Amino acid sequence: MSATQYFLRRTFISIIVFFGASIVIFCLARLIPGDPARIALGPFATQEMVEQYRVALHLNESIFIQYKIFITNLFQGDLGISTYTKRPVLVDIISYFPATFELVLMSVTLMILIGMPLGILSGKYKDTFIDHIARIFSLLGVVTPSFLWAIILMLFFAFLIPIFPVAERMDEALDPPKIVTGLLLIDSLLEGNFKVFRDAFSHLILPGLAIAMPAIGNVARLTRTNLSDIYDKQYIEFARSYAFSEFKIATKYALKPASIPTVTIIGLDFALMLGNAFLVETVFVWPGMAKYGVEVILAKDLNGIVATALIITTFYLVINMVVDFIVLLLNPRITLKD
Amino acid sequence: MKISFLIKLITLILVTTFSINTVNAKTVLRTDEAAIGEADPAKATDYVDSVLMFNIYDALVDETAIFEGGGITPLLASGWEYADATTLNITLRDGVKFHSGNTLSADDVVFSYNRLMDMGQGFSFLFGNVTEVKALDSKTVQITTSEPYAPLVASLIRLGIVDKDTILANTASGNYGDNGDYGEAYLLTASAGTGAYKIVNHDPNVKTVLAKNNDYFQGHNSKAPDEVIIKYSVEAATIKALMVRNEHEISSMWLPNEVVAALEKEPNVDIVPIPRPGAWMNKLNNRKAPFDDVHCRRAIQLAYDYDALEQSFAVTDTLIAGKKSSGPLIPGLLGYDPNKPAIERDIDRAFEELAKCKYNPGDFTLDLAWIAEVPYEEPWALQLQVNAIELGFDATVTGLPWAKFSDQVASWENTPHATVVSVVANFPDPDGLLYAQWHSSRGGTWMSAEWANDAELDSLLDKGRAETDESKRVAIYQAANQLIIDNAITLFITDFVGMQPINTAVSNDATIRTLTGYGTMGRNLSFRELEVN
Repeated sequence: MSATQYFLRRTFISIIVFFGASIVIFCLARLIPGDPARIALGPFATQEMVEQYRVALHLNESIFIQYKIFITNLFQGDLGISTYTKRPVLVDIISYFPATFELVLMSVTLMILIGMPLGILSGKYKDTFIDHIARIFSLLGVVTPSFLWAIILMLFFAFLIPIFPVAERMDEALDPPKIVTGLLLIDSLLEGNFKVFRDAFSHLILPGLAIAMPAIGNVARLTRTNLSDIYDKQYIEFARSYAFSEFKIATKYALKPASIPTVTIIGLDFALMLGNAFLVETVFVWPGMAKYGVEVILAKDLNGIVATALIITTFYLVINMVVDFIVLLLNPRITLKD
Repeated sequence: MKISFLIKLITLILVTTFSINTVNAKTVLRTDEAAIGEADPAKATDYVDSVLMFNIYDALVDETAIFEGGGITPLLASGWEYADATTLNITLRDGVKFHSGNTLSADDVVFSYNRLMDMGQGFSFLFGNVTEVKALDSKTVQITTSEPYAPLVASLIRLGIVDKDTILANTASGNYGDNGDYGEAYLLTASAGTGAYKIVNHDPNVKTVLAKNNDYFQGHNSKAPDEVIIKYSVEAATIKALMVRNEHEISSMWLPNEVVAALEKEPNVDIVPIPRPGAWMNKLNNRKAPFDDVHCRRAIQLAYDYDALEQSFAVTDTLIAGKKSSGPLIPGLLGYDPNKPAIERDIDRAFEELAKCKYNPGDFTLDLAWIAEVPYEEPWALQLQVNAIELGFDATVTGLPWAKFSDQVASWENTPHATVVSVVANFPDPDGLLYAQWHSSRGGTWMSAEWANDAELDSLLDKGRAETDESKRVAIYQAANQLIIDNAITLFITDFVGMQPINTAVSNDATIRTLTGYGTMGRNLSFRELEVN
């Protein structure tokens, strides 16, 4: 099977999964108790007002008709109106997705930059003092949930060493760059506005670290275990007997095969963070999609729930596909047929 | 080589990042609210929506501050008079400009009313008695009602006047015929009012940035903020951090007690008690035995431990976020008497009343409910359970989800014996609170979970609606207030007192006078009246 055929096959399966997920999410959203129209209009609204709003939202139609309307509109790029924010869901998603995506990118970067070196050190100096310290750090990362890291980091850097900003994406006094990608780091660089770049970067550090901490622990532990196994292999002994430098052995012969499971985990964590960032976003007043996703559930905003869930589903599907291709590159012995 | 370059680059980024020092010449006031912000005055329902409405849009009338005697005062109107019992003629103020520069006219008022009613959201339910609004000329609006309706003038405070020309120039396709979307999409990001502030940036789920409207016809306090930032749904721990760092000036009133208590110890934060236009109530089902007997209701009213209830609102030894109630009339409403004594517990009299009740308390298991989404209501239901058991009733306490409560309350048979809810005043007239809750024709809503059925009270409330003489209305509503207490129709837990943490740079006399000076939901956070030092 060629790479193109494999890509087309995966895309086709992903489309089927997407539609399956859309049906499940669409139905599940309607099982949440409460009348969306009543919740949207508030407790003072009369029954007539609620009824009028239900008609506008097609809530009195059968679920099949409602799904048909949803899918038809979806193909026209219309995700409906959010009963929570009262604006088009597409506008909400465009507003909030880049903030979460940028945050998660930062977390993944930190996860790779901290987690993998930590795992390598731990694996290389197995059962030494360095390994023990690294393992304690990894364990703390894994067992402490992100929102607790968020609170700890907030308390530490808000009161004891107040060097980092603790809220929002950038300083209120600065003018935001023109939106191109929605990612402040990139948009500010495109505009040549380094002041905003620095400010946006500093705002990303604490929430990015809070989300990354459990994943850093995971990656470090996994890298350590895999690297330890690899170091026990005969071909490493063989490389040593040829007097290759330890750095070369580690980077060229040990790390590459050891990183295959890690890459898979990084990919899954990447997608997982997108949905799981909501508590961290709440703590750091981050205007992201994860926070929005939880709020629309609480407000029973049907269109908002479905759209958010489908975005995360799509992200999962894409990331999975990308990870598969990276694994193929890392290990040529795995064939497309596998 | 590459690694050393990377290290240098990272070091440079970190060093320059932490050396940012922004200079801000304009005065900025930062505040926050729990719910999302609705900037369209035709969709406003909540506290923060009201704050936005009162600062961006003006209505025909305004509330007179409590410290100036309360009542209603003209705003965009210059005056009004009743042509007959059902026809109100309103004259507009001259020369008022919208944010666009357009001049206010009677057409704008008619358009704003039609827009509100056609969209059928927000406070449109207040105008159910209005049959027609028309412009007699460019400066006169005539409002006709189906029956004499004295609260009409006060309820006009909830009709935010929008700029017709601006809206019509910015309509998109929508559900309202020739009016398209009635400017719904436009008002998501822009303002079309005459108010003291205009929208710079609005994201209903994140924040709203307002800038001072320098052409505002009433002017601003000389130290009013140039810019206001309202943030939504910010975590309490974050608010605490921001306030300690002087990065937030006025917090919402919804912080947990422990956060308020912690902020009280901070030298740069004052905790200001704000009497809010509402009350916590335990609504007795007046049609369900044993509370269909007035003596049983009086017994439970006299047994309810109001001292313990008030103490449950204690934030610290000195800060109590509740005030014992003297009945349904609350500060800011016509007829409120600040000298009226609070309702108190009297267990001996409670047993005397119980002896007169036709029911044997031991035969009843009272179903006492609180709203599950509001967990801090539970202790007040538990307190009622303790006092009911003291009288010999059995009682269970249930946390009812709001949706379920809304369904159950539609029939008196399914309505719990007592339910804890909070009620706020949407406009500064007692009719808005009293008629909706206690007139016998209004049973079946969350506000009227009592299913009140008192002919004398109905008569008073009907008279209050039709009477336009203010002094007579005061007497009517004070009589109604007393009757509701005497017949123990509702148990009053406490009047609202919000604990608002405020940065010392803002907690001056002007700010506190404004924040504590109004009885209509959201009217008090009037940014143009505040002082930022």
